[in-house]
Amino acid sequence: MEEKQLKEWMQESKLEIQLPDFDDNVMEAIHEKQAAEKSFWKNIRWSWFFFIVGLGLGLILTDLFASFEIKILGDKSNLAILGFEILVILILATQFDKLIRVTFRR
Amino acid sequence: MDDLYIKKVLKGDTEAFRYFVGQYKNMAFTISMSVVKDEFLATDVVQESFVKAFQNLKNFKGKSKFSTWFYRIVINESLKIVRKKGEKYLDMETHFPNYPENEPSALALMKEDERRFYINETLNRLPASESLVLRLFYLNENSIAEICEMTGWTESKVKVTLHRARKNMERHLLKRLKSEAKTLI
Repeated sequence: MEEKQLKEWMQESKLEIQLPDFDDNVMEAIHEKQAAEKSFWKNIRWSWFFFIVGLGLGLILTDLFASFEIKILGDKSNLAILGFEILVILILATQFDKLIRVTFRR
Repeated sequence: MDDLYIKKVLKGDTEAFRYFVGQYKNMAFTISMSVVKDEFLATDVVQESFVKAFQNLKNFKGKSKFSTWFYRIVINESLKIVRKKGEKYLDMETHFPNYPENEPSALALMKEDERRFYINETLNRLPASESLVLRLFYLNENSIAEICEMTGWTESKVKVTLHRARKNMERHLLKRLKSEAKTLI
């Protein structure tokens, strides 16, 4: 087969998408992605807001518990307060790690 | 013209991207069909490729043509689908005997739609790499360097694949035309 002939015949190998509303489908998919992206960043911002609020409340509560003289558990009150402080720190650390990963993954 | 619309899209005019969809959808579909061999899959691939292109348009540096950059996305998306399906294609060199190359071609005598049918059917039966390189080189008139950029292949691989593709295309067309002639007799 001659090169020239092959080139000529290959011009007939161009195909066409048969869907009449293909262009609209693509633009719709793009708009949906944009909306999802906007929603994602909005959720991230709210997540950071509530994390900071939670951090602040956790610190305040920890300080308040430490300043109150809780006698419910007797001699073990200090241990209970320590346990509570450790729990707050663990929650903050794990949630902070998750939030960082989600935020910077994008 | 592409540069003008790229600037518009990057400035926030999402609808301006419609220009690229209209301009490149058919060739993108043709390229994808070369690889995935299925119309529905190819349509999905092209749609996904346009969405990816839109999302990554800010990363397009303009060092190559937009079409080269975009078709690379199409080829990668098509290959992803093929790998997912785990399909392999026949190496036609081992399955079809050598037909004499100086036989007069019946293709030239056919009507346009018949010829188009046989050409596309042959391309559909060729391995993905071969039908892809034939279409990129002869239909889209890409240079070897551009094909290397789109596929990630070395120059020698492109040339070897092109050479093999020409031979297989011719052999398969001849075989098909001979068997069609036998059924008619």
